[in-house]
Amino acid sequence: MRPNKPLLTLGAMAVLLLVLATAAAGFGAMRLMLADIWRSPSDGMLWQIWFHIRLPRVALALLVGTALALSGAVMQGLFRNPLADPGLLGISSGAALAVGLAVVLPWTLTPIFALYSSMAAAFIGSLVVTLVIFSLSSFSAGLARLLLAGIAINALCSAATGVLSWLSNDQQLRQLSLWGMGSLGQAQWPTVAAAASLIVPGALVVQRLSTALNVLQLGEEEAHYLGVNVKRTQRHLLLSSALLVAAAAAVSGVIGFVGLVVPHLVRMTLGADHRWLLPGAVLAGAILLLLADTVARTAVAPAEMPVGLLTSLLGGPWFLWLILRRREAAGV
Amino acid sequence: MAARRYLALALLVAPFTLLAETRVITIGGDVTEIAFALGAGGEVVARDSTSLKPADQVLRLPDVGYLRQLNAEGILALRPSLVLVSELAKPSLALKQVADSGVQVITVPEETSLSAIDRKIQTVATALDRTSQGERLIARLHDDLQAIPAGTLPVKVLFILSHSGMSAMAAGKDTAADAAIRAAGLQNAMQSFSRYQPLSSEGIIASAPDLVVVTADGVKTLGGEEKVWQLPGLAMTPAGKHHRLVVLDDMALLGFGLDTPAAIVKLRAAARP
Repeated sequence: MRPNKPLLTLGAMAVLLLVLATAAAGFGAMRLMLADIWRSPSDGMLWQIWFHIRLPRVALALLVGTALALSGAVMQGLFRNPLADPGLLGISSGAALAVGLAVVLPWTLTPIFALYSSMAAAFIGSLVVTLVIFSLSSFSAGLARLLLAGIAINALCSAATGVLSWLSNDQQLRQLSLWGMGSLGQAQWPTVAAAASLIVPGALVVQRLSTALNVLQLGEEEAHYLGVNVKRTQRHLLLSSALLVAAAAAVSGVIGFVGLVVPHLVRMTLGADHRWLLPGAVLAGAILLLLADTVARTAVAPAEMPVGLLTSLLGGPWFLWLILRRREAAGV
Repeated sequence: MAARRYLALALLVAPFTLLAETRVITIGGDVTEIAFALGAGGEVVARDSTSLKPADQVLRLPDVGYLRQLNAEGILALRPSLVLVSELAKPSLALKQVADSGVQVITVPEETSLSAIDRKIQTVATALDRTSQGERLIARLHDDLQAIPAGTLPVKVLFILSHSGMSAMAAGKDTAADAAIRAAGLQNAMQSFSRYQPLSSEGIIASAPDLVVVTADGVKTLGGEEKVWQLPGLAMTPAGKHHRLVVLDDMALLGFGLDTPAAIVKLRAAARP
């Protein structure tokens, strides 16, 4: 019965996710449950709010939570370092820099385009960094050098973003810092569809490579002798996890620590086998961000708080505890 | 038969008559203040976090959050019939969703000029159906501004912005402070740069201001009026030699709302030799 244990756990998580998603769709600033809509089907306004404002937000929380946790799990597996996270390669800071440019440069945008300019910018920024990393990885640079390159890109983009903040006026500065706190307030069905069109294929590609990712844990040379095309597998994993981060950053800004914390939680319950770890990360990431965003949009109603702040507040102490525990274990 | 039809009609109309009361949400400190000044305070059901005046009435109202981060569902939950919003909150998906749900959303223009204050009042007054009160309010502000004599004075003014947790900054061109100084018929001492820049001794001495403006908050941050002259280079300027300082409320001076004309009059009075 042992091999079925992870499957049972995953099944339980999936059921929990469904229950929570249904519950979250019934919570909000409005006292509005599905039952209310059934009771007064003629009230188009209630249906409008539920279907066009609340439901896409729940869907987006599931998608972004999935993307962040999954790319975190892949990064940690790829770099064989449990402290790797999606922000490691500079993708998020590339997105932040592009958003900074979009906010600070004196464009004159039509209102409808102004609404989506930061989204488009974040996506382009993450894509540019992803392509830089991707071309570096094909230049026979090992993963360790890639990591250093990522750190350099991070520093460079952060410095450039700093320059932009210095150039910006008060209002632009606030817009920038709000983006940096992350929010799912941009949720609409078109946004959800756009994010899903990247996140779903990305997740499928990663899942298909889960066995190869397991073999990679043995080391690059060993994996090569075991018949895995190491370079190609690494590049595919990198590209798909970068796309996941890009999609998430574009629709929600920077949401910290989900990518770092969730894979750890899942490893504790399901073990380190990526065949179970990756779907586990998908479900757990979706659950975590759904809970965080439901709190973010109801706790201070009628206002809302940035969900990225919530996840970082929870994630920060966890991260510290993790480092301290690792030091004891490693005897450093 | 006819009676039944009337009854059905009455039932149909009932929900609309219930919704006929005006429920306004005002977003933006200047917008809220104008709505209350027009006597529409009773219709305002919520405000944003930048709306702090008139404090005794506004702070009791629900707060829909910071104007750059609004929550559509939170706003709709208050069942507003009208949302009056400062242009500063745009672009905003939340406001678009509110408008898509059939709530009237009216944008109030946002510019740093005295004429913009009139336009703000006109927009809010029209939206709240209080045009005559709006005209009276505009006339009163114009009377206040009569205290400013025509023509400019060759007085160079340095505006210093100082909040806790940051170094003091000087206001250059393209700032609300610059617009306020010019509205008072005076000159901004800092012509060499745009926006706010950290004070540098040499830059301050070179700009040779005759008068220094600090906000009331800034004086608190610095720890008293005499501390102002200890800022880099300030003691070596004409203003520093004669200790010419005027303290003004920052929201009044920079917000281009109802208190701005009085603040500008005060600034002009301080510049008189």
